Amino acid sequence: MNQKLKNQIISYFAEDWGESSPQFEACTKIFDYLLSYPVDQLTHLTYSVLKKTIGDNYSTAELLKATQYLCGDKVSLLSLYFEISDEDDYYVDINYDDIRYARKTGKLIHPRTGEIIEDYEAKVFIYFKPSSLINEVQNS
Amino acid sequence: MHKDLKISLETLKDFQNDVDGIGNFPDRLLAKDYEEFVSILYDDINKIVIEMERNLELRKKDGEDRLTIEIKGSLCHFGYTAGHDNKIGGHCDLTVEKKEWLWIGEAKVFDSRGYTWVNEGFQQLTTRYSTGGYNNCHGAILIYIRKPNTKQIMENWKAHLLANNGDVENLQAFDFLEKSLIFCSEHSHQRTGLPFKVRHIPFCLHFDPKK
Repeated sequence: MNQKLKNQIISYFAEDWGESSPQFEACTKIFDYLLSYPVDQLTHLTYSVLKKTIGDNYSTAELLKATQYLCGDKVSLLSLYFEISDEDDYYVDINYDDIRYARKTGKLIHPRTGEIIEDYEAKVFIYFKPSSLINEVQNS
Repeated sequence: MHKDLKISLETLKDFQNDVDGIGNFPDRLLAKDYEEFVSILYDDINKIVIEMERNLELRKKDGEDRLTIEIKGSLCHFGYTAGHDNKIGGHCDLTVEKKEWLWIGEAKVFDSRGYTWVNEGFQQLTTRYSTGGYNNCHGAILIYIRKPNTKQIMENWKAHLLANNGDVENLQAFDFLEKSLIFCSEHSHQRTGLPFKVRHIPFCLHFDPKK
């Protein structure tokens, strides 16, 4: 474990949010959770998983603030992914280029069937994976 | 258990009023070139301006640095690598970096020093801090205005800018959008010769309740 890097990241949480803020605590809890497993075991972190990690004292809004921050450039601990669910609840990943195309045209093309997905914003869900920075903290 | 907490792109929009910046969250990460990065950044800054202008009584004593630090703080919360007083050719008031992309904001309080003071900010931004390269060809003047009639002040500032920078090559100014107090200028950057675009963003901080 690279303790120095870990401490530096926690100091960023404190600097940006203040140590007594709910976001500081939420970010720290998520960070601890990410460090407690090998990265290859955390391949599908949904908001449900992260909400369970930080506990019931935090609202969904607070969780959203934390994940927005943790996916950012300054303290990039989470990588953002997109997925849609089929009728049989089978999830399919959507890559960034397809989402960019949908943002520009309003049309999301299903990556397997090629069909246009109507009302795609309601059907595209977000999940996360640990970023390479977690690997760096764990292994160096 | 929380197995039902699924967040879609649509859900993020539903939280826009509760979580600052969340509406642009995916787009911020999807930006794949400098122009997209700057466009989303400006959208985020607009939201910060609106928020700051809503609570003027809390900011009536805040100075230039304090206000700029507040903007920097909000940008950091959104996930930006934002800095205050970073050294890039001098001490820049506000910087935002992503990959090799750089955006710089120069902040000026509009006070008794008037338009000459704001013009100093324009010159610092365009001739000292900015590189003027393809990855740093946008910047902003953040004008904190405590006097009344921001519209008139911005019109006067635009006229002053054009009248007092005759040596700036190809300088032109144009309105940004209808129903906006912001205007933009563009000129050839003296270092690179590339077009450099400046957004002139007023913060309407006048607060003088009569009762």
